[in-house]
Amino acid sequence: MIEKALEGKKGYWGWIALLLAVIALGIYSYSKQLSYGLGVTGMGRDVSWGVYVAQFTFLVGVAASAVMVVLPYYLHDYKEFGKIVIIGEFLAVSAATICLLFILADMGHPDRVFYVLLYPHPKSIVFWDVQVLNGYLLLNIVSGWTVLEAERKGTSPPKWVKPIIYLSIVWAISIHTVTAFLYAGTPGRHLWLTAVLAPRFLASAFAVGPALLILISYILRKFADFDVGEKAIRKLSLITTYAALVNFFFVGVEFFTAFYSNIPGHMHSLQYLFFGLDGKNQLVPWMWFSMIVGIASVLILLYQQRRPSSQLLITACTGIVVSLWIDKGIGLIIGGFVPSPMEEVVEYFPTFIEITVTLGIWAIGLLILTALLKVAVAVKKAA
Amino acid sequence: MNEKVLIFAGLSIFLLGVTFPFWQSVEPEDFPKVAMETKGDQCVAPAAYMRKNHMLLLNTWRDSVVRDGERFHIMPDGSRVEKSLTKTCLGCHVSKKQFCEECHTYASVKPYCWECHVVPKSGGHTELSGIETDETKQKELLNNLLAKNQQFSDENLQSLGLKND
Amino acid sequence: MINNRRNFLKKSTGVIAGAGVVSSFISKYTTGLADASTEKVVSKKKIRWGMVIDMKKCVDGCVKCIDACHVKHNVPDFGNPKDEIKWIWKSDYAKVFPSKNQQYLAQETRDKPFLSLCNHCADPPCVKVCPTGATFQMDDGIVEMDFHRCIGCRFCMAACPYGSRSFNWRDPRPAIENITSEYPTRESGVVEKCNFCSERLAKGQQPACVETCPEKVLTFGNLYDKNSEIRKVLQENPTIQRKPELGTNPSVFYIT
Repeated sequence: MIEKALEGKKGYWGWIALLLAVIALGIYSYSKQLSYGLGVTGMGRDVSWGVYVAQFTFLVGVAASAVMVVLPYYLHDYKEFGKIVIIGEFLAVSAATICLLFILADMGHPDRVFYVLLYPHPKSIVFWDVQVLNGYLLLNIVSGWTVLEAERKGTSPPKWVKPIIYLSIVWAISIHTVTAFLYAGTPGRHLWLTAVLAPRFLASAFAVGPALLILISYILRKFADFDVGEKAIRKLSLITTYAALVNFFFVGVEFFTAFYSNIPGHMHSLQYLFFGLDGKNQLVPWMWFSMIVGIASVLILLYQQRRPSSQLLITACTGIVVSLWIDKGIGLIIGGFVPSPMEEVVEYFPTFIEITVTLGIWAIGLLILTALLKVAVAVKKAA
Repeated sequence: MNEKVLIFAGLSIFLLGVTFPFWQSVEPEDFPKVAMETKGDQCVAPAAYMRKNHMLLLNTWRDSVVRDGERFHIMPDGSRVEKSLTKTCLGCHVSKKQFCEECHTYASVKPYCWECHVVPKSGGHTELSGIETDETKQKELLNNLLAKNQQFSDENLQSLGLKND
Repeated sequence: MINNRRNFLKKSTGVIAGAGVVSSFISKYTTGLADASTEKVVSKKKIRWGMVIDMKKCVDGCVKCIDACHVKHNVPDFGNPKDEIKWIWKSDYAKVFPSKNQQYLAQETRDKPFLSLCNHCADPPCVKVCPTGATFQMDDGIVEMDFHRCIGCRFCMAACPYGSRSFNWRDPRPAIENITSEYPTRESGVVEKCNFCSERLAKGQQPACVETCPEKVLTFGNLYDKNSEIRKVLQENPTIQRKPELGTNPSVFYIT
């Protein structure tokens, strides 16, 4: 079945070539990072996690969002999602893979990565994150591939796939909850030390994932002559709308608790992000851009429910993805380190090497996604 | 027919390549001459054991020092030495270059101990580093230590400014 | 129905009585769990190393303890705050004690640079989050680093509420002025911090900072030994700790 990914028109191979070029640049930059050390990035003693961990956090959400199509289709027999489920699963596979790659890129001693398995420490949430992320990757690739292959053969999928799919539904919730626990359990960082972090992660994941699926559907319509169905897209847009509303509600709730209680520790990170602190305000434009675009996109989505328009839908989905990428990645991760535990404001900006490694890993994800979707679309079109 | 030729040609090239180390033998260099002198009479373990198992001993020492806080090794005569690559091992064995690198270079082994663990000044002899500043006294000390060593080649001794007795 | 009611009453009394007995046992267990703020009595251990820093004696501008520590442990000096590695350093009171920062502080407290180092907490969040056990707690209370096992994920740095940890963003050796063979250097990609000089303690020596200080600012000793000097100092002087509300139980105390 994989041979279907090797057949394509000029445009397809052009896209693959572009991705490979970006990957090559990323590999070159990573080699520089390996020889010099992580000092080639913009991270430092005070902001010790940066773009890599931000991408990881965002992408775990994307991976988890597959549950939003798997659950209705398999658990509630929502047949309209018939063509989009496999796309959701393959999106989860690509996202989960590059999650792990971003973690690897961020490690100071990547050659010791297997120590997490050789010297297990169940008290550490990282231990659990490694288990659930790899498990989720396995669940999705196995179930997605098996079901697709059965479709290609024209038979029904084997019985053992069903429990795996049900497991993946529960597992999806767990991967993003565990990732949220990475942050929500640390006592020193007030921006993260909130019970609402896990629910907020899930809400933003369920807003971004379906939005991405909608965008992918339109791309497939245009370039692969494959239509997942108007009903599926409409349903997805409904899911995104509700999830985005919940997400911005959570943002509002955070603001209230911080600023009404007036507790300095709770306020400082949000002050730095949205208003500047100690004269440092590098991220302020980013955060307001994210808020304005995000809320505007939600409004467009709401309007779009009454008066459907693919133009508006595409705009709003792009807006949701961009807004929440900034909010979850930059806002949450960088904001957690500013101010430092000693109340110092140190700013962070990624370097060229950091950015190219990031783009390279994104390109790897897109390459995997492209290949998998090529196979899926070919099989579904022939069926 | 064409296919057969290609297949056999490919197989032959592969077989030639895979057996290359056997039929194209390179003249081995002289077996390493290792400086086997010690400050005391004996190493922390017998030489035969150490030759085979020094990494095992170092790893065991590493875990027991760092993780269990047990920093001292009891010698057979009851005295204590610190479990330390830099201070104990190199404190007795003359120099990292003469002792460790001779065999490691020959066997193409690249341990990364020295990325962190410090090679003491004067090539590894802590008795000489910083304590004995008089050059003659230094040479005398070194001579005494090397006196029992039969494996030192002339070249090695010359590079240290000494002669074999 | 009447018969059934009798049976029902009999059974439900039994169930309620049983539930009451069980829940009384449960509450006994859970009350203990909530007593986190009381002193942890870990009676099997004989040593818990601790330190009292008497800031009244600490001299402004003196950095002898910092130099001693950093020289003896091959701590590099890169000359920039991004790559900076520090095991012990001086900082404003407001930065060392952000939760105790108040208005109308005595000028002496407000303006004097306070010593800051790893607190070697009894309940260290860094140890909890380390995925490989590269940072771990020894029997004597010291929170140690195993540089051979550290994978450089820097989760411990995110978890430490005091900012005590530094990462090797690059090879440290070029930035070490005088490499001593008494202690190894580290390499790029691992986290490091104060280790309460465990290698010196093993030889019966005081930590380098404690030994070097000419004003005897630092008192170091076994917190479990009621007759130790450190316990005497703690008994005779009001002391504060950094962020005690976080439940980390630090082993470092300050006399302001």
